[in-house]
Amino acid sequence: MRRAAVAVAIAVTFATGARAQATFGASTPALVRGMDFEQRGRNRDAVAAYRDALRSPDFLAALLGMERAFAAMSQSDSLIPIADSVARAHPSETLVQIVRLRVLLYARRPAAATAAFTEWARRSPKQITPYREYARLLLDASNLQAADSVITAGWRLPGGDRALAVERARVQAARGEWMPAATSWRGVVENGPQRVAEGAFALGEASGMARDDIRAVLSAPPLSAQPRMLLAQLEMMWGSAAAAWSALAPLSANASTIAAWRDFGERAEAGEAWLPARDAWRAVIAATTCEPETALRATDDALRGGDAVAALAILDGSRCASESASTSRVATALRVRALALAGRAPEATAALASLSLSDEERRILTTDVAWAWVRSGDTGKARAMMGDALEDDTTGVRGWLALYEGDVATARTALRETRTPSSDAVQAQAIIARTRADRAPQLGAAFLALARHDSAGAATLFEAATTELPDAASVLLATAGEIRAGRGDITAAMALWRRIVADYGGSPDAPRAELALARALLAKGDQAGARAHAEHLILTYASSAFVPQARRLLDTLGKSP
Amino acid sequence: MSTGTCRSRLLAAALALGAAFLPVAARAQHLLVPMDDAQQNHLKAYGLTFHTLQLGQKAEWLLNYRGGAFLLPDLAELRRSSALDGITIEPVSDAGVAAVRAEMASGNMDAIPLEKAPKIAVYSPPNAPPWDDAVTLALKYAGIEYTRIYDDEVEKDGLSGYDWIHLHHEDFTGQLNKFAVTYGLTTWFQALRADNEATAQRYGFANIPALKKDVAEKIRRFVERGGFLFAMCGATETLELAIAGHDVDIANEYADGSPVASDADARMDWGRTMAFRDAHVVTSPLIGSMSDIDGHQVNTPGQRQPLGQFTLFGFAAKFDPVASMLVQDHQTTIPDFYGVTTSFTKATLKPGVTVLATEEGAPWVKYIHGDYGKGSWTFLGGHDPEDPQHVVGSAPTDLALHPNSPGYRLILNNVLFPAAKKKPLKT
Repeated sequence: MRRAAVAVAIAVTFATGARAQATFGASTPALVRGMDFEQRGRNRDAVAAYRDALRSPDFLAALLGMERAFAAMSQSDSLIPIADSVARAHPSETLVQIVRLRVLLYARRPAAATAAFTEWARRSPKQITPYREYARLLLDASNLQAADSVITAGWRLPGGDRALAVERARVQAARGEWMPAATSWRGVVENGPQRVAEGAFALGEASGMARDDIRAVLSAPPLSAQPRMLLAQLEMMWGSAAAAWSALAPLSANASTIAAWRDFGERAEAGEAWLPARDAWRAVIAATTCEPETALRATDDALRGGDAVAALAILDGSRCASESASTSRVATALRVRALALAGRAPEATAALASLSLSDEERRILTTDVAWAWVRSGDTGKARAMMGDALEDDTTGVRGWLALYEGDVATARTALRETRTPSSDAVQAQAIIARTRADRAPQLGAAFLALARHDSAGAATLFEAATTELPDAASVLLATAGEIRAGRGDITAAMALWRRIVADYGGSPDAPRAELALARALLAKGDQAGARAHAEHLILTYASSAFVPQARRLLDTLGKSP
Repeated sequence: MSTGTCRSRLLAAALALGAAFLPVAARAQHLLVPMDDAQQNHLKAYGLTFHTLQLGQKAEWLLNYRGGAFLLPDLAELRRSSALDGITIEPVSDAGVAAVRAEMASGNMDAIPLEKAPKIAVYSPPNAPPWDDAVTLALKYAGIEYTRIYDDEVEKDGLSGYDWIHLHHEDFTGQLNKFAVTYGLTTWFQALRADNEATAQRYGFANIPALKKDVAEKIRRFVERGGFLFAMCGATETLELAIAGHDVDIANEYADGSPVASDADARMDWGRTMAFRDAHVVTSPLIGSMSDIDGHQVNTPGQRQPLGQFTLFGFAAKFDPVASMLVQDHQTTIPDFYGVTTSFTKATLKPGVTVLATEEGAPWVKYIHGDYGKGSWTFLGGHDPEDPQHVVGSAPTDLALHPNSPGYRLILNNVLFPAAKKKPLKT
């Protein structure tokens, strides 16, 4: 804390020192000597030289230099009498007063600091500066109570409310008074757009319902750009790029708004929030003359977010993206990927054929198109599309094709060798790891149905595969149950979970199924049933990782009747 | 307040070992519920003990033994409940219990029989405003039954049916915590005021302060006649102000239409109060403080004091069992937490008040207790032990994340304390 405060002081010092030098032109030899010593780490000699320079017009830079040198020697206390003396000699110099207060506070002499502040304020009646500077120092030292007292006193002066608005907002936020803090910060950023980042830093600590209060204050009418930008930054800090974009989207387009949208797009991409980034770039496209780079970026973000339809719409709506040769080539490549992702395999194949590509580019796009053939249900065309490249594939295509065709042995090996396995691949491996069988056509058909987005068919096939793979029956039923539940067919899912609990009670899937069953019953309003399953889970599978969740469910139900 | 010695630890280890060798279906004669660091869920352990009493069974509170352990009969239902709630229990034979008693006899420990589950009422508005009551949270989490009461129930003399009453955030001066300045335009505040005004009218009171003073008086009589009162946060301070100011106008003009009596301080009758005396009433409607009873003055700009930590005092279990019960905990130093009233200044405490916890070097105390008439009261400053900076609108504390909260244990000590079989004090 103390080190950070010194660092801040030193940073301020350098900035202010440079200003002082610019004001006084050529520096006195003593000051130059002091700086030289300081740079060479000879702080004791630097102090002596700066002391000589205190009597020159460079006294400000000299005082700041002494503050740095003493701090480096951990002797900040030694500056106190010097700062007192310089303050007496130059009572109207704001910077001298600040250094004096700062050194007293860092030396943990709050009474002396208060006395020095009082003296400064008395000598400068009706001036806000002493209040603001002392409040800032107190805030930096986390002395909220004293800072609040100083702000309250300064508030009574003419113009005090505006001049001390930032400090008051900082105090309120530091105290956790979130609604007043949000109101204060709204006023601050409306008067000073450069304060947005500072406001976000102060309000970002809020949690729970306090965040809703802050949202309500910052998004309240009238619609105002700076509070919305503050809210967007907060939402990003709180982890929701989509909410951040919701704060910015209603703003009408102008230069500063477009700049904010661009900035948001960059941040959202950095956080891999592809769809909010897509929306931001689309807003920029709509508000500007055609920008090919922006259109391509929006398309790429849409694809990364899995939105093939939007990607194609952006490409179709931004003809300028195809104006130059280089952007045209990228646009076509993106179109191939969008068509592949949308499952439009013949069009994707045709578009790919028209492109002139390097081997690596072609390999990537070919894999995408092969997946499109899989999604359209044609594993043969997918194999043909991959051709010889299939043997060396490490992207998972080989493993998946083997799995779809029921070749569990090959799938087991190939999926394990996948360079960056997707969550789907991990789940598939978890299922096939539960059986010793090397062939399972029904299991393959179930996964293929999933790839074709036929979830109802997939659930039926997973269930049917229990006959083919009895050693993996419980995990197959659990997978079918998850798919059914995901489709909203809770009754069918519950029947599957009941079957797992009844017939495969010793399997690792049983506690998970029982918890799912309890939650489903609770959602249906059957508290007794939910309680019975949660209790059975806890008492039967005492060491299961699902026990804490079952206990939490019991907590929501309250005491048993 | 564990005073466990090396011997008690060895004994505990031996008991645990014994438990491990018991066949699953075998029954010991007793279940020991440790309340030291071995306990997985301290808060639910209180609920288990309360449940034992509800079943008509007897329990014992082993003061200063393993953090204030409980000794329960070995019933299948209790074993089941402890398994469901994740409460640590240790089956103990009669011989084991005899060894525990021998151990306790040699140190500052004592066993207090718990006989009857107290009837509990929590005084809280029916439509809860946007703050939470730590006691309600604790009772719900521990699974302890209680009845929610408010002014209607009190005015109909509903207090006579209860053994234990809890007050939390209520402002018995009738000024609604002076929130009118900050939250006057919010929907929840307006609804709260309208509800209170309607109740005042229903019982023939001119305004909210008059209603609340009458409620405070009925609560005072409840304690005087033998009831147990536990209060936290702003209710501690404002209940006493309302009692002392029974015949003085201490409410601001916005609350009752007339200004505060200019000589309010001089006319306060501190002879009627339980804990405090000679406090100065803060009359400004713009300052969110009621008096100088509170040491921390959380809502008074320029006077707010930083949070520290408070330490529970130790008491002689055999000679001072009541105070001992109230401070049973597995930690003796606990981080402080703000409330509308956070602490109690030493200068305003009445002589004879038992200080249960204090902050070293500070001019205030945190946790106090005393007798009043045939009953007794306990005051704990602060709002929520696990939400030190609590402000209006903060999300409720999820106690599932704090099953071992030492601060919440103090609340639950107060819940079980009225279940203790009365023992004459030896001092």
